[in-house]
Amino acid sequence: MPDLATLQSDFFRAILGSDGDAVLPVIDGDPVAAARRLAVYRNTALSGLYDALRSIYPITERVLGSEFFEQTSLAFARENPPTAPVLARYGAGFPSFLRGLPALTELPYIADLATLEWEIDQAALAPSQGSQQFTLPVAGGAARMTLDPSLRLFASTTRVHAIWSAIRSGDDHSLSSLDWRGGDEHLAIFFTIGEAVVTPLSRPAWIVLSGLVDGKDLATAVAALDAAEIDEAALAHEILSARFIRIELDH
Amino acid sequence: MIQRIAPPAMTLSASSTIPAAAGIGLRFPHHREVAASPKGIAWIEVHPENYMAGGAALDQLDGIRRDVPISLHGVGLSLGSAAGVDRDHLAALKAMVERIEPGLVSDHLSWSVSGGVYLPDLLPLPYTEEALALVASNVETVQTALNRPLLIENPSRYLQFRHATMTEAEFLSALVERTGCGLLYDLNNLFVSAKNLDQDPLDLLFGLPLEAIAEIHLAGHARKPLEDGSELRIDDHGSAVSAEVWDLYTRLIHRTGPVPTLIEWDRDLPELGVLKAEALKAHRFLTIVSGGARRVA
Repeated sequence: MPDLATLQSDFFRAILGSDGDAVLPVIDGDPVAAARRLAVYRNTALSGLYDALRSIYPITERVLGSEFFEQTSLAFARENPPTAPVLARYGAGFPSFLRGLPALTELPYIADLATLEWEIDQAALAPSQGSQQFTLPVAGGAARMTLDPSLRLFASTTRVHAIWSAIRSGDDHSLSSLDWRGGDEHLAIFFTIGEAVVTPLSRPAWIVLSGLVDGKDLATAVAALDAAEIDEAALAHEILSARFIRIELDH
Repeated sequence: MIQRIAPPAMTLSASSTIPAAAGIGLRFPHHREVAASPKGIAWIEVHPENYMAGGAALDQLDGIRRDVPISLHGVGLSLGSAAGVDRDHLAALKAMVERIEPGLVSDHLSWSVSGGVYLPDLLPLPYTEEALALVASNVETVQTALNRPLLIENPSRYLQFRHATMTEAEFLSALVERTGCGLLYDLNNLFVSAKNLDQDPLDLLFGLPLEAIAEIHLAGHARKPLEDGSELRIDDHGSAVSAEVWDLYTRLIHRTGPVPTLIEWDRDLPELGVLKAEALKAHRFLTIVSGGARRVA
């Protein structure tokens, strides 16, 4: 009989693949009955991973259709099982997996759509306290600004925000007339009052905020902009009015 | 040599803030309702792994714990893994225990990790001396890290290993003796295992050290017909507690007296009121059948 480590290794192979040859002989009963009983564990484990992916990628599932999404999720799960029991962090590689599927070349936006859903899901897991702070000189003092800790930034060359919004709201008319190309979307994703919010940004604001999220100071973040695209008044107005930035005035 | 670090049951019941009443397993869709109106809920139990990523759910749990006693019921320690307990996961659990200050902490007699991969299922152990020594060592590691006794839950089983040398009751009894852990006895799991393995549930139940039972779980299960005309019972937590499991429950608490009891429901989660009604049913059995005083502890 195998030792426990060998048995567990064989058991995993039987669940993630179809190779039950090593483990079936140590299970009580005839091989057919043993295989049926082993299948209960395989089904529970894989359906648990499928359910985890479904909960993160509901809009992607709508685009792909339930059957294709299930097949794709199970294929991903078999190739990329989790390495930790916190399933809320499982599935980060699913968008890349979709990008690599030849069957999805006719949906070039699908990987970015899935990435947007991943960012939305992860925004909900941010701590409620603590984030980067920076100051901005204003007339008579300075504004101390704090980025919402859930803020995540994402850019796509396809119109994933428009696609995501139309599907989420059930707006089939908009969806049918939507051209997914030519997006060049710059998005902020944050979590507030119990739900994730996705809001478009201008490219300059997105670049500056990306620098701040990466830990750069404001001057360095602004320096990343091309001189031609700096409209200080418009940029200041966009950043100061953003819902994901808390502002306190120091005088 | 495994040292006993705490006597079973007595230390558990003395240290626990979980009342000998019927509580409910809290799932995310019911968070807001429980937070807004905790009245009538004796206690709740959550899976700590669902909160370890942080976020709004953990913040809500911080609020709920001020009104309702909480038990942490792990699914990720993988106490039967040959590779031992994952130190990072144990550290995350310890942080959760320190933050939530639960009345009870539990996990399963099963394994989920091999070769650094985790699968979301409670996989079966062969009940052998090798497995017993390993699980006892892992339980001791966890109890030492948390500085408190752990409750171990019997899993639902769908198969047996040819080389097993002990029954589940013998295995759990020896584990209690060696480690001082307590038992979380899931009567639905017991019934599912007994049916699937063609055993008498009462033999499984009363072969246990009843004084170590510090918590009871109740849940529903499904019946799956097989091609050969037989059937398997599937522990899916997707329906009300079956009549057979209620029968086992009344028999058990008649022997033990009142024990904290939990209604679990995961698949096709109903309205909170349905869970409260199941808990009320359990509570009536607790107060009527058991006569109000712990007997075997």
